[in-house]
Amino acid sequence: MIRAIAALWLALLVGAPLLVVAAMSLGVPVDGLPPYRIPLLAGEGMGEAEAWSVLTEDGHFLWALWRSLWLAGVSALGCVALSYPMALGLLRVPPRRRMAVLGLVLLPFTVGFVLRMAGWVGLLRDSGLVNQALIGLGLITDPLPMLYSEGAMLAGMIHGYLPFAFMPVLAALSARDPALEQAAADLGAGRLTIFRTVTLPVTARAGLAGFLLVFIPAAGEFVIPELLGPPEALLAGRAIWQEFFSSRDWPLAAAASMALLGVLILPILLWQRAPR
Amino acid sequence: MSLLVEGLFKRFGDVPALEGVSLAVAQGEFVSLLGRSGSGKSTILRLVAGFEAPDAGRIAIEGRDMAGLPPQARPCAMMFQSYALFPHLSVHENVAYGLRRAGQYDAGRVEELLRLVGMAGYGARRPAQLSGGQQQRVALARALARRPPLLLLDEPLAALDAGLRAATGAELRRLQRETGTSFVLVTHDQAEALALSDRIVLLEGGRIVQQGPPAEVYARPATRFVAEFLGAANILTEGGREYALRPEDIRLGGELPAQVLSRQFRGESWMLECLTGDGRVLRVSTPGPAPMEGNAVMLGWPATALAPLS
Repeated sequence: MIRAIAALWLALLVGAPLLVVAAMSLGVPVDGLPPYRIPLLAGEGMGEAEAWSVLTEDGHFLWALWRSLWLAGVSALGCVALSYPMALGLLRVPPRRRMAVLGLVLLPFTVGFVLRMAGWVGLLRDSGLVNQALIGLGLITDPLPMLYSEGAMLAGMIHGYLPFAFMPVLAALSARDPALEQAAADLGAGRLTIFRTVTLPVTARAGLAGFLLVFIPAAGEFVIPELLGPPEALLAGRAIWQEFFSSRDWPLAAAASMALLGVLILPILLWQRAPR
Repeated sequence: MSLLVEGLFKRFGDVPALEGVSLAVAQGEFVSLLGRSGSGKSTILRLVAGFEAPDAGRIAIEGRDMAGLPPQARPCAMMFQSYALFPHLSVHENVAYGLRRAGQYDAGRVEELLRLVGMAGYGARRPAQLSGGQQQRVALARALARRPPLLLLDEPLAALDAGLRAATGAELRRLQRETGTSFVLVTHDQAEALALSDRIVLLEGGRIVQQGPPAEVYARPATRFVAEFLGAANILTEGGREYALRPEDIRLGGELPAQVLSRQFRGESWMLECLTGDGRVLRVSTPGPAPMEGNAVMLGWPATALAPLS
């Protein structure tokens, strides 16, 4: 019963839209509504599948796809790398106060996503808090151009997606057996060696889960690069957005969406094969 | 002296765990710390290993003061109750872990250790692929790898099946003899402590209540607690003094009339509960044949069987 409901749910909300987009990617753009026509459905054969040849031949899209994966990978690595010290620190808090501190850690994430990103604008812009402070301290005379840069974009991405990596890492670290690390210390391992040879390997699966939970949505992200990134930053999410809403080339946008999806299924398949 | 502990105090919050424990372990000696949970026995091990710092007192291993030294810098090794084998490493790498940290890795030495504990040929396995008894052996090999002069064992047999416990205990004893390592073993099982140790140290409420060779402590318990803990002795009060009287020291066919209340078959003997004419309940161990419940019996014991308690 539950399986049937789940199957129906997936078919309606995932399968059907996916089919629509896949079909759309085989169409050609036309004037009118909807702004595309699918030769296959009109009984005219496969047609040219023009969108796919544009996608594979136009370096613009491949580059955007590559840049998206790179940004998502660096963001996900950053999130996991930050999650470990945060979670280890949190777990040193006595259990009585731990929930309260966890609440404080997660409090910023109750603020709306766009507002948090706007906060970075307020911090990093030329007349922002950081530049004002540096000028006030006499460290610099002209404001540093920090906003609309790769760094600002990365900071926003890591900030935005941190909880997705933090929660699985925290869960794994709080469930680990303290005797393992004590045994390592007893056998002569220093603190960093214990982390590298025991803590990290025994929580690696959670770290990988955190990485993927950030990587997958981050690869399609376009709001954060739009708000904080350099104007020339071309990412898959933004390219798809532009094709849909500016160029109104829906087949091309659909083909790009399918390509992104195809690339993101790979890490999920790898995850399922990862050793437990 | 392998281990010297003087005036050890430790509190956890408001709860006192150790209240002035002093203890000496000689080179190559096998000492068991015996007590109920909460008696402080495991705390002593954790303080000696360096996982906790004492509130007061001194710990010296091989004559070297351990104050302020982290576990890494202490010459002792610990075997954990849960074994704490690294689940992501092979048996070989688990045993090699301490050697690698010291830059003394030698595959031959690892193989030798695995042979020593009867686990040769298991080097490539993961801990999860081993039985509890095999994991225990690997944990022992790992702890012995760097030839520590002192090995601390926290309830090493508690996680094993009853059938495996006696044989593994004998194996521990053999390894201790062969390696000449001093063993300090923590247990709540009096039979284990009696069978394995050169010396038993009994703890109650964070204090040592008695210590000595197993036979001596068994025969002459110093307090009511020790007498009851080491084999459920009868406690008699005569002339204002308390005495311990072992069930196996009471014989059937004496001068004291009694009635059998219940009997339990223990395999090698029967345990009777008898109500004496003067209204006391005595536990009597007899090889049998045992009288039936409700039967009248006569009880007696030699005067030397009475161990005065303080």
